[in-house]
Amino acid sequence: MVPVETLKNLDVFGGLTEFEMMEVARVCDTHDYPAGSMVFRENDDADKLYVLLEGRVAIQFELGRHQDAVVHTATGGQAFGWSALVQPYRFTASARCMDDSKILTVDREGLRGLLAEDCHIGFIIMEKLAELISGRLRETRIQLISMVHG
Amino acid sequence: MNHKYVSPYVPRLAELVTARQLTSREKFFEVRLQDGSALGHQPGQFVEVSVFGVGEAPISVSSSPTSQGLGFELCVRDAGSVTHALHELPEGSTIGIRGPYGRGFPLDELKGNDLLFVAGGLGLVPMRSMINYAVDNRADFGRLTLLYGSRTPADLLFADETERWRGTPDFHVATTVDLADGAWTGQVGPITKLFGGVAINPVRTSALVVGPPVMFRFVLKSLLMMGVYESRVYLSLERRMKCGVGKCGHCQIDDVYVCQKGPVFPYTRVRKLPEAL
Ligand SMILES: Cc1cc2nc3c(=O)[nH]c(=O)nc-3n(C[C@H](O)[C@H](O)[C@H](O)COP(=O)(O)OP(=O)(O)OC[C@H]3O[C@@H](n4cnc5c(N)ncnc54)[C@H](O)[C@@H]3O)c2cc1C
Ligand code: FES
Repeated sequence: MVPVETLKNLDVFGGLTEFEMMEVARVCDTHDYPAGSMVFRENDDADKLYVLLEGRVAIQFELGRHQDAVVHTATGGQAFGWSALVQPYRFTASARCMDDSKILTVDREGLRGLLAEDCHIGFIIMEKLAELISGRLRETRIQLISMVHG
Repeated sequence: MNHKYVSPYVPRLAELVTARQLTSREKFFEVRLQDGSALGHQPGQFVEVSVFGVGEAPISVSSSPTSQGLGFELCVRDAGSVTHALHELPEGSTIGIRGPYGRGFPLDELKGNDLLFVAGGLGLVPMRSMINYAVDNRADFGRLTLLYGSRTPADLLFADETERWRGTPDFHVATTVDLADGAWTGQVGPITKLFGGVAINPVRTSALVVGPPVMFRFVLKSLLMMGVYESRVYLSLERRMKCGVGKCGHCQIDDVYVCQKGPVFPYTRVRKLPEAL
């Protein structure tokens, strides 16, 4: 559980009422990660959704031993690890802290319980998630075009 | 009166004073005209470089007219026959130079404004001329911001200089790459992502954009959404060119010869050319 204040400035929870935020705050936690540590790895069970509070996190694919391809860096306020809300609940990429980072975690089962119970919370969070995924898809398309034509 | 006709196609002879590999694809050249004269260019202008026996290619001047060197600088990607031949030439070789040609950045119009430089890939080559001009005339401009995107960390150009700019007062520099390995400590993502992290005052800002044409549409959208005035956005269009002097039509977009009226255009002009973007 975290104080509701922690959630108030985060875009992913924008649109929730204060009361709804209190509900969500009950299934959240914060963790400090040192620079260089892994938050999760590709194919791990996606049991949490993450929101970066401080620091930077690289989203990367492991191409082979000691070879990573970083495709995105998350910065303050951004949510990542959305596989926690999408079947089959396995991370599609790894997340590594580039700096010492403070991260809000949202427990998957707790959140899914809330989404099932309260359709307004469900709608707002799933809408934000769709926005996040579509933004990332758009970024990836621009990166792809720039890799080919740049 | 005795007028001597000099064909615009006859190049001036120049020496490749230094040739240095910058990345796997790009080489940096310091060039000096053999008659000892200065090139007399403006930031954003280009020259036609000839490698004798091979051909000519339009290349932007990368140094600022304010630079202390005796010559001028080019940065060239090995992209085909002429540029490859140029890469093969040893230091001390003679090349041909025509120009400077085209219209560069409108220095007087930019004076007094904050400048937002947006460079993608090789676009940093001509932008470097404008950036160093602004740094050397720091009092003439407000806040400076550079957003620079490249494919991978290995493709980043002028890394030392980018660091130096970062250390210049009131100069915010942000770089990103499309793809990196685990050793990279900077941002990864498209250049448009950098717009989220800059604090500009849109009504005081002139935006200068140079990069691959595919970048323009995305960048323009971000600029206009930030509230930058359309009339204060300038783009450099690098269309195929041959003569550089408005004779051959290779660079034509609709009714405009880019080699003459450009390569730098205000967005308000380019918007009216359906084939430009
Ligand atoms: C105003 C302007 C400024 C430029 N500044 C620079 C610079 O600072 N550094 C740099 O490395 N390059 C620059 N270019 C691009 C450079 O002119 C081309 O890469 C070069 O002309 C290719 O010639 P080539 O004989 O080596 O290649 P070619 O053997 O003719 O062709 C190789 C490839 O380049 C493409 N190409 C051919 N001619 C041109 C052309 N005129 N413009 C664009 N693409 C072409 C072809 O489609 C082909 O894919 C600039 C182009 C313009 C118009
Ligand atoms: S390059 Fe010949 S007309 Fe422009």
